[in-house]
Amino acid sequence: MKLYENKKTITLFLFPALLFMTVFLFYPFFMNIIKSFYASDGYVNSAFIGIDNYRRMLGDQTMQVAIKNTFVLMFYVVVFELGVALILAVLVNSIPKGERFFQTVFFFPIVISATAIGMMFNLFYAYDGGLLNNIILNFGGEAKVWKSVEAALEIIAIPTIWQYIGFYFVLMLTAIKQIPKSLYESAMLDGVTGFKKLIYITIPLIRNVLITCLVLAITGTLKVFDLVLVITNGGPLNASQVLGLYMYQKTFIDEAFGYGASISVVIVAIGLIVSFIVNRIFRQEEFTY
Amino acid sequence: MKKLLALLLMVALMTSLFVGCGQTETDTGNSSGAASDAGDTTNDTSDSDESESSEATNEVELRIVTMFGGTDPSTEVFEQQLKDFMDANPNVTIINESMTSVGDEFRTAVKTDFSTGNEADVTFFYTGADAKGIIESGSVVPYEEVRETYPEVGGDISESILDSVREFDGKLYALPMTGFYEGLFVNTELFDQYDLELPTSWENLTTAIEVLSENGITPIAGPIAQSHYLIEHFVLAQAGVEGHQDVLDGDIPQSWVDGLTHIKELHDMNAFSADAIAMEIEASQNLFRQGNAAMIFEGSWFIGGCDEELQAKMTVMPMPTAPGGAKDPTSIVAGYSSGYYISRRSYDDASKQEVVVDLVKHLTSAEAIKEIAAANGGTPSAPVTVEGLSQVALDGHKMAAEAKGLSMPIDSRLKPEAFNYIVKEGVPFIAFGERTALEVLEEVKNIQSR
Repeated sequence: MKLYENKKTITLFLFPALLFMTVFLFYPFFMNIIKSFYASDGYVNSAFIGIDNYRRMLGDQTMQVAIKNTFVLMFYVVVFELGVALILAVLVNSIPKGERFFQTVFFFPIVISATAIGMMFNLFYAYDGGLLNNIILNFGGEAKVWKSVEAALEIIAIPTIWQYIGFYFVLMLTAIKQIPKSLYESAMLDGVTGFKKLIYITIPLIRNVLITCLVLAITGTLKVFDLVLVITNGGPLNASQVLGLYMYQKTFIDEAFGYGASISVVIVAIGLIVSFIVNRIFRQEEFTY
Repeated sequence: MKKLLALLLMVALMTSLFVGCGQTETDTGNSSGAASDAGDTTNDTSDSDESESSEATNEVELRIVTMFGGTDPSTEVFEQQLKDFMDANPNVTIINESMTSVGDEFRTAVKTDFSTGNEADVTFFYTGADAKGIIESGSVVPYEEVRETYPEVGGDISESILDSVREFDGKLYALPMTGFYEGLFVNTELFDQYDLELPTSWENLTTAIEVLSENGITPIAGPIAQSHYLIEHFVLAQAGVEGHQDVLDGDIPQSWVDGLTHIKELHDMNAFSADAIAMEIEASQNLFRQGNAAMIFEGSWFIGGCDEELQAKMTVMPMPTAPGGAKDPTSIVAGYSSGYYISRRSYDDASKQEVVVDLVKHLTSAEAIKEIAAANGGTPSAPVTVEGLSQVALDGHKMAAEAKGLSMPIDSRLKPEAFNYIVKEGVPFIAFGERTALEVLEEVKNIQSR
């Protein structure tokens, strides 16, 4: 029997990764759920308080704002990040050359650390001497306060979206490339071109990848925290408070580890529910070309 | 054969997983064992501090974490002190993981290190509420114990100052270097320019705010998003020293409510910059340092980062008493709130104990204290005279010396979660009229007593 078909060998090879994941992922995840029923300061003080943390969450105004903001952010991400990535993928697919160049350039922001991107955008948004205000002043306008209560969520949405467009772009481009040219050719014979081609042929055929991207984008939004921390720290007045950041603040800055743990359990629950709903609505189909 | 290859590959992959998890302590243990054999023959270590035995010639690696890093004014002085120690003790390597204490990152980093067993050998950290967990977990050594073997440790520091940093169990865990004071720093040039009297009274303060904001100067560089110092001063202005030290275990003191409400009143008078709501401490310090704001609530450490030209036109004074407030005009927020800790693990390690104590002795000598005090403008914990201080630093020391009341900051008495509530969910919302000071303080009391 071939080496890779031998069940024992397969198990042996999978074992290290499984061990690694158990120690660094499953065990902490399980302990986190347990810790969410305690009040802990992260050191010696840890007392069992049952579902008090969850009860507290129900009355926590900031938590409600954070959940609302996270869902709004999810909406922005789906519409703009996936939307723009799709448009870029379709455009890049139809150019004769330069494809490699665009792939590299669009993918580049992903390798930059989110903290560095946050600091860069801070320089854009700064009231005194920031890039945007300097441009406005140059044209004779008046400096604006960019990090205002009204605009804070959009302010942090922009770099969040910008950073990962390239990732979804590459995924979608690869999927589009899988579509056999013969389909397009026969479509052209039927007079289907341009926008109709996009709607009736391209999108349906990359449907599975689109669903995957949707789930990734949505669950990714639940984890956003470093960009927000650096740019607005959840402010002003909680206008840009999101779940990931709130959990970090509660745990590491306020040292309420038990409450932070319960917030992270809620984040996981939301992630699971939303992914489940998305998968239900857009059921994946098997395609044969 | 193929099976053997597969097995070998699997073993190699598994060991590579655990390579990164090794402890460096075992490495130094091994190398120090090897070095001690050669140590006796190469005893050319300088005789300045040391005494000792062949143990001093072993290769020792120490980790130190302090606040004297990054943008802190004492960074250069501190790094030189470490270098001097390493030059005098060539067998010692010190890994310096210091970072500035502005913001929350330093506190978080040190506490995380202690809670994960990754604490440095010597840590310069806060005393009081922040250190409680660390002390209760037994991760640091009380100096009573250290002094049994090394009686001269911290000998240059005044006893009364050492007493002021004794912890809840009466023991001494931290050796303080410099004390701090907080106050209202003023750009005297801007005040002269608009014929304003210095803000020694609330009336002068509000007049100055009106005139300055009409003329396009930001009256107060106040970071509403990180309002730690605003909170301290406005509460003190209304409550006085005794009220300032309330820990909210009884009724909510009206003075605190009024104090925080004053921040809103000043905010409505345009006392702060247009982007104050999203401003962080460092940005507001910048605003003042560039001469775009006339006043700032800051501390003694602030002076070191101002250039000489600015220092020549700066002065510092106590917070003016609020209308109807209980504060004595000279009282300030001040004290000693940080010091050098020695980790239990390091002290119990025979190969490191002596070197660690020597390092702490070196760093807490009268000379070292004088250098740090000169760099950061704080009040020295040893009876030394700091030379070359600018006028504003001398004003600060005078203000501290003449104060009838000194009160440690509120965040040394309240839980981090409770104080942070005032900072994040309190002041910004109060300033914008979305929450009342009473609502905020009731929730703070809730959190504190949880």
